[in-house]
Amino acid sequence: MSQLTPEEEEILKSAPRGTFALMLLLGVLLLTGWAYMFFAMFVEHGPVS
Amino acid sequence: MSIDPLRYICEDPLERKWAWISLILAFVMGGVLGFYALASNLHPPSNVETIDSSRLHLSEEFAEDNLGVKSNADGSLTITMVAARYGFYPPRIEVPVNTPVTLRMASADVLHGVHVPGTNMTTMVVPGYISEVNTMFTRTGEFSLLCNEFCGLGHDHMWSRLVVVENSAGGQ
Repeated sequence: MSQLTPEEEEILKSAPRGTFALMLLLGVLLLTGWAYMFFAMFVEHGPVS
Repeated sequence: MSIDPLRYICEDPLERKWAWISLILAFVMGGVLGFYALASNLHPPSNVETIDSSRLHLSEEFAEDNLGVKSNADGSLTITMVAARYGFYPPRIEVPVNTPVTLRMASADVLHGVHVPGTNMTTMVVPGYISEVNTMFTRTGEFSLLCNEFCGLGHDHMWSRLVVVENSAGGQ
């Protein structure tokens, strides 16, 4: 493996902010999609009992 | 700093964060569903009425002449239908939009299911029992009533038509 530059070492030690952002984005997308399916489609189709 | 309770089952901090997001999503979805069900007083269809499937034609309610849509005193409608291989009878029903509807179905032979795609109407039709579902159709249009329980070689062709019309057009 080639020698890491000080900047690359700093990046390796820091928190994975991009991964956190991606996780949050996926979570928000999933929740938004579910809310759309539930409120705009399921509830809109009328009650069943 | 507080201690993460998930640290006992997961060492990697990234995995723990993802686990937290998943748990929060599950609780939010479950909470919304629970609140909606409680606030709207919803519950699964739980009608238990028995009937002799081999004598449906001799029963008053499910005799051929009495099938179809009937109006109730409170303005709601009752639809009486028979599911039998391979069709629903009557084959076409018409109901007004936004009107409370009680669907009562009985099977003349084997296990059937009924599902109306594009609405929330679905139930199983178990031989020997009367299936009852209360619902309301919120959109006008023509919908298919499909059998969604495999009932034999003609299962794929078992369907009938539900027509939801404007209130002023009435229903039959």
